[in-house]
Amino acid sequence: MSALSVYSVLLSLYPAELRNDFGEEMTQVFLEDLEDSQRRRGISGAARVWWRSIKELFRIALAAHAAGREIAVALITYVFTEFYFLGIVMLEGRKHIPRPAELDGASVLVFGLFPAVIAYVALRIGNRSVPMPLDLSRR
Amino acid sequence: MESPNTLLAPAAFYILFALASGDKHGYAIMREARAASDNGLDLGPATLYTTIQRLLDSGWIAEAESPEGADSRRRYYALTKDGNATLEAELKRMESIVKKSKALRLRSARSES
Repeated sequence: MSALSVYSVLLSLYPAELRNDFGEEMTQVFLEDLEDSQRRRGISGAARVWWRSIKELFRIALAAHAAGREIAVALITYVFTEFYFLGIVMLEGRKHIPRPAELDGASVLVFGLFPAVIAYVALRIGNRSVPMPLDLSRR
Repeated sequence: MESPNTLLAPAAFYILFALASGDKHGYAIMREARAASDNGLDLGPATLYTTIQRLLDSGWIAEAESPEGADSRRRYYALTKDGNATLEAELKRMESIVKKSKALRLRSARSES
């Protein structure tokens, strides 16, 4: 298996946005780096380049996917809790439809605000095209 | 655009620094950034291009024309006016902290003697 085909597999794990814009350049830079390091330091040079690529995969690709999963989990939670709440209102509401003023604070928090806040935070995190450690500025 | 007064992440700083001496393609940026950091910066292709993507979005670097006879697959990048201002602000901030640390060292040396 050639270095190109192994790196192509690693590259496929990065976010589509990065792959589409820079995939070809990333592969070219990786191969040049590998060749250069191998020529100068032999096997240890090549091992260093591969090790760096694996570290980057964890730091960038997997972090981006984790952010994507957070969005999915938050949205599913939000939709399910809202349906659950709607179900209660529909079943119980035939006898007595609770007005917003009659709902206790805990119900509003659990079924309304809490999932909305989680969804908002997850969307804010997931909207970053680049994970936090690679932000341009350090705040 | 982000404020030039914010602290730059190491990869962003060294990429801007590498481009200060002229337009470069990705691998040349990577080599120069590593050399400038005395190989202390662990810069691989993914870190390089995610940072380049952010720098392009911020308007601190831009795509440049490839020089004549260059490999057509390579894209060249150049520092913009905003990017240059950001780099200068960061270098001034570094200079100021070095001056302050030297003054502190002098003071601590005086108090020891």
